[in-house]
Amino acid sequence: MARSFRAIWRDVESPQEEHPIRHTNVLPVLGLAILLFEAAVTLTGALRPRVDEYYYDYYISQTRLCWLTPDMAKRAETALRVDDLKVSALPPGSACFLLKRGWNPPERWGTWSNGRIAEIELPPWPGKTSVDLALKAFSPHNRQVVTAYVNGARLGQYFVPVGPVTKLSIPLPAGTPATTTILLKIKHPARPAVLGGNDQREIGIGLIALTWH
Amino acid sequence: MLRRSGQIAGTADSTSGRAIPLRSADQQLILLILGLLAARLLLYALVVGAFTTLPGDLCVWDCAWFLRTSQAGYDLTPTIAAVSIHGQANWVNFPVFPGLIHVFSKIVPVSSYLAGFIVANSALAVFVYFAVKYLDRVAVSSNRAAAAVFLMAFPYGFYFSLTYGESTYAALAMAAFYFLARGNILSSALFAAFLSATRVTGVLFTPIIVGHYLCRAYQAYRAQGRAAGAAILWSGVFPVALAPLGLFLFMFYLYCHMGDAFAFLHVQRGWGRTEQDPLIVLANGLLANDLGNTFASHTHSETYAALCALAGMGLSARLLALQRYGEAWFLLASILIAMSEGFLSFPRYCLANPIFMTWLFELFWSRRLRKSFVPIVFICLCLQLYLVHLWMRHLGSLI
Repeated sequence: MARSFRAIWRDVESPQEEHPIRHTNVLPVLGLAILLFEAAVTLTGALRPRVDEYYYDYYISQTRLCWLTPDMAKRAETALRVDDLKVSALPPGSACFLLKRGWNPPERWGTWSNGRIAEIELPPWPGKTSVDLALKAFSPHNRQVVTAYVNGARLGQYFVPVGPVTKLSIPLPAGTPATTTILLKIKHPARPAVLGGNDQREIGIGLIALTWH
Repeated sequence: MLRRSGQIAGTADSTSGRAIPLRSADQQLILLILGLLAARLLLYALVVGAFTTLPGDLCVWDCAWFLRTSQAGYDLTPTIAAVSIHGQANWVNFPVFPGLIHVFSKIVPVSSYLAGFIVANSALAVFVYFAVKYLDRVAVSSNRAAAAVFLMAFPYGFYFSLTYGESTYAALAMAAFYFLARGNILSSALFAAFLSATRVTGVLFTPIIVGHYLCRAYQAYRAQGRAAGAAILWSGVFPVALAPLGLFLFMFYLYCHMGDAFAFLHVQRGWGRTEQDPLIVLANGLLANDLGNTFASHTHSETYAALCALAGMGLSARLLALQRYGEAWFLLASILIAMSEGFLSFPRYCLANPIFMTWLFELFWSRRLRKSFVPIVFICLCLQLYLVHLWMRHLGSLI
């Protein structure tokens, strides 16, 4: 067995020598089987990950979102209109970094939340004391109820009316750590399809702009 | 790839012209490498202040991740570390290096610090061995002793003595290139398979094997017709499939273990890293104008990293001009992939790249610069010791 394996190995190492055809089918067929295995692992891993919702949202969905958008700066401009600071002044890819989890793919005006929890992660910005979120709401009723948390501490509950843009001012903690996480709990996310149409996304608030102060 | 064939340069004594038997030349090379390694570690001990605590003292930053992986295996879920609000996990550590530490510590009952240190430095010796033999084959002019000394003294080569995967990666990459240059494609593919299970950029060796077979098939087609070309392509299926197998086995393991075959990519978000256009990263780095942070304790210099990237890209362009396509591709693609995740740790990925180091030796050993070779090596050695000194101070820019 070992001897024949060595013979096959030698033949493939130097196929142009004495016996160009002998044994050539054994390893190539094995190679095809390995290629099939590699394709199966890739496809299964990409299409059917066996992970919980949090992991999928944070690690997979947002990573794919970043990869699938070819022009990162353009995407950042589209996703978040920043009033007094250009997003491009932040590190490249910052929009992917800012929208941590619980967001739908961005649209021209901004981005809708996805589900009951939406998180934003802010990079450290020395000298800035607060950040304003410009939000709009979607709800079958006339307002959306949002509870905000900053780095895990509850900030308060806010009512975002359907229609006008609401500005939510978030104070940044003093002695800011590496990053600041803003978690928004959305009380009544709903599917636009309930009002007619085919949009089955579960949306609650729309993030239009971010402004540091 | 192969620029010079025939007699291995190191097997002939260039001073006396006497032929040295191959085995004897190899034994001399191994002794030389072991001697250089011992001298290097002694110098490190002088910098650190003690020889016995050297493995533990050098265990800084990601060393703990590798040791934890070697002892406890892979995480099931991301964990929230005290230093970060992100969930991080050890899926970024590919299995070959922690696996070797695990096996070694099972065989020899030593502390995990010492096991990691011994494995890393053994891999360094293997790297230098294969690099010297590779240079014998492909370099326009080479010298075994000079090459071994340069590779041991190269400033950023200090990573190869740490409990990091750098030396294992470099050793496997060099072995794969060496066997490819010798024409032992299956052996090369086997090392490439282990390489792809050492770091994700190891999979970049696969296109080199594909290119090798395509070239051979084209030559056979031109010389002997379609059947000969097809036979070459058919014989290449197994090596091409084998080369990235390590990566796919790791993905399969991750899928069975925690459910995400691409966890090693996705978990990068835990470190706040996202994929970016490498050229935008490069441009931003060049414009950052922060060279003052090159050896800063709390941050890193984007401009310095961008200059490293430019140096690496320049070297790969030169390799391309010399028609050494495999090395050019490997160096350039490694740089671009590393850059796509930002400049954190970038000098390590770029300057401690095995192709970068061997090619730099060729440059300094070229006829024009050979007179300056000894001073260059001396400066390299001083820089390396200085970097070890900075490393001991947990310098953030070296992470």
